[in-house]
Amino acid sequence: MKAGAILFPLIPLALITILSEGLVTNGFIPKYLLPAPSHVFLVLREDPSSFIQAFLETAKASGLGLLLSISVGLFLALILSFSTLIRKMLYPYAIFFQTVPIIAIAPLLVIWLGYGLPTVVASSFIVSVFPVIASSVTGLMSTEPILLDLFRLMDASRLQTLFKLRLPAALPQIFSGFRIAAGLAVIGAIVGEFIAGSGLGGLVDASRNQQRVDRVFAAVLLAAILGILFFATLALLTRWFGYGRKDGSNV
Amino acid sequence: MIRLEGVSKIYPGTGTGLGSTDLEFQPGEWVALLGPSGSGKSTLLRLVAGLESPSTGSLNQPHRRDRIGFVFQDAALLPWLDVLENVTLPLILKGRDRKSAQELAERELDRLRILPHAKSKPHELSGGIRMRVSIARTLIQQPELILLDEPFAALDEPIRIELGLELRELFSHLRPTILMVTHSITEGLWLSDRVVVLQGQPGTVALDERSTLGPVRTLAGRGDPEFLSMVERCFVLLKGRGNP
Repeated sequence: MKAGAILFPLIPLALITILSEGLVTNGFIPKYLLPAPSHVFLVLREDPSSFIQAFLETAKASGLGLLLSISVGLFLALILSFSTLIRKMLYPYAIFFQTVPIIAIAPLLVIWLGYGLPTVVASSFIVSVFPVIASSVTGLMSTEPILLDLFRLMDASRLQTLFKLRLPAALPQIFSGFRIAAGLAVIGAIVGEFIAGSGLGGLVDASRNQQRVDRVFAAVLLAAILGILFFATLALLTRWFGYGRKDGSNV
Repeated sequence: MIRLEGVSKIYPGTGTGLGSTDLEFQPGEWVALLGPSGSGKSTLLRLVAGLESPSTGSLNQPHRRDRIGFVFQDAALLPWLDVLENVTLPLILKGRDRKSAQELAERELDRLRILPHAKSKPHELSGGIRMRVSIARTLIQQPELILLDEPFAALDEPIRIELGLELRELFSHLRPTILMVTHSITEGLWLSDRVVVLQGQPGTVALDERSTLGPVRTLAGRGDPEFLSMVERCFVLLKGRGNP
């Protein structure tokens, strides 16, 4: 990765940080609406244990949610791509996962699964599974016709065509779906935690009730870092598999 | 022998494809299929390969599908596999063990003088080498019928000539039946034993003649007066300026 890819996005972040620090410390914006960035870091240093614990809880729940999304989503995509009939029957239900308002479903999850990790993992899964299914199905269904002809001529079975052609050819799109799901898994977990009352979501909710905007911002900052970590991990995995190169070898 | 009797394949909407066609291809002969775009040359190859079904007529093609080699214009290699893995693919799909498949693949790569590239990925290779890999993948199937769909179209002239001569030499020993679609009149007439020209949309056979050249082809043969006369006849026919 080129240094510019890391450096350039940091420039607007640094400018916004400096600007907000100046606006708040000079009294242009009241502290109860927007805390100074330096104050957010101070809050993190004052009470690191509760933030670390919340961060780890959210990381665990969203990590499990993402793993579930990847495994279930990919498995469903393989089934959906295997037969037109199955796709016609089941794909509308896959779209259901995208359209479902998670904030409305989360209370139901608490009733079904209780106040704890399963609810948060389920929330993370529901929000993040659709991109995995959609990207994987798109990738699996867009194999080059000439290569499909080649496999037909080589008398390949449908399973051989799926696992030796369609799946490897679809990996770039599949990994793209994983990267989108990574960010959504964190969002889904935070929403679940709002209701279930744990992790960074629970911390945000509790801090909001106490009018502690500084603690809310500290939790939001950690949630964003978690999302970036997930995204970066999957981007690295994509590179490791060799499916992010510019030379065309990834298609 | 491959026999087409009244075979046609018209694509709805465009009206292109192959009109009613009667043709026979003898075992071991190399036939060049010439004609403008949309005249049904590639359709004819796909029909013979069994990738398409005829709209009308009967097609008798005696070869098993796994003994038919198809070489596509852009080599159609799997980019995530290296050269050796691409060449072994037909055998692996048939359940052959990897070690013996690799030995056979190395023999084909050696025959086509690309063994040093065995571990390269397709994107690391030139167009000429990629085409050789594609031909090696076809040869490993020990094909009785080889269908070449504009195999040299993406290559530079010197590489086209060199590869064409090599294939002519190679196939003269292996003796598969070869149907080759090409847009190059000179190349088609120079490499093949017989040339079939398709005309119109949908295409029908406008010319079907044997080559005037002997079995061994050389670059000098392209200057042969009879050869040049036939090139001109095909050219006039394809430009729509006269009858054969």
